[in-house]
Amino acid sequence: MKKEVQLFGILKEQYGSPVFVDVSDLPISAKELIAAFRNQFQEVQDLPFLIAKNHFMIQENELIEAADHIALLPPVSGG
Amino acid sequence: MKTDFQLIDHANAFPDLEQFRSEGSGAEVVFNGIVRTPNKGSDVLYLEFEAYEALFHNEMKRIAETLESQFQINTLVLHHRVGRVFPGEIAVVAAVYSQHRKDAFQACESLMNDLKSTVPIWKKEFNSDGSFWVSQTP
Repeated sequence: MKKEVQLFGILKEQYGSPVFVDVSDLPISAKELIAAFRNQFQEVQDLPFLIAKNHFMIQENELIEAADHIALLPPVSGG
Repeated sequence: MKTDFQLIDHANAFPDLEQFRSEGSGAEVVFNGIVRTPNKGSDVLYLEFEAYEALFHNEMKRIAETLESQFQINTLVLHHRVGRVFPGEIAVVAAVYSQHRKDAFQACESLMNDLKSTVPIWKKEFNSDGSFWVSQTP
């Protein structure tokens, strides 16, 4: 099963956007999705990032359903 | 509290701030963030800004609600450029309108701190030595 994930910034430059992350099942926690992303794109092991669901920031314990819009956000740098 | 949050795609497209003034606001604090050169010893050619627009508006709304609970604010404004921005050009305008200066100064500083910590905007610096993504948080 694959979950579509939108990327920005350096992640988008490296991998394009969207990407499709291999997951065993849905729903899963945001933490599990991030782990699956890191497993698939191993160059980002040391890069911290935030996660957004349906255009709102979420915590890693929140559940992600198949229909949710998901984005992974590298360190922001506005201003 | 009134708010106005916009992503601006052209240097001449910043809205006139005069529209946000009112008789009830005795203080107007405006911060202009300007692209500078040199930066860390390299001549900056330009910055390229990218934003996640839907999340930008949601996150700005959340920040505004927090600031409103901390300060007396009549109007809160944040306008941020996206795309290519050259040295000397304005990248961001933050403006706070309040009854008194103390709240306006403090709210404007908090707004800029929040912008740099959670608002989904990214910049890549292109300089005389190459290019790199600027990382601030998380």
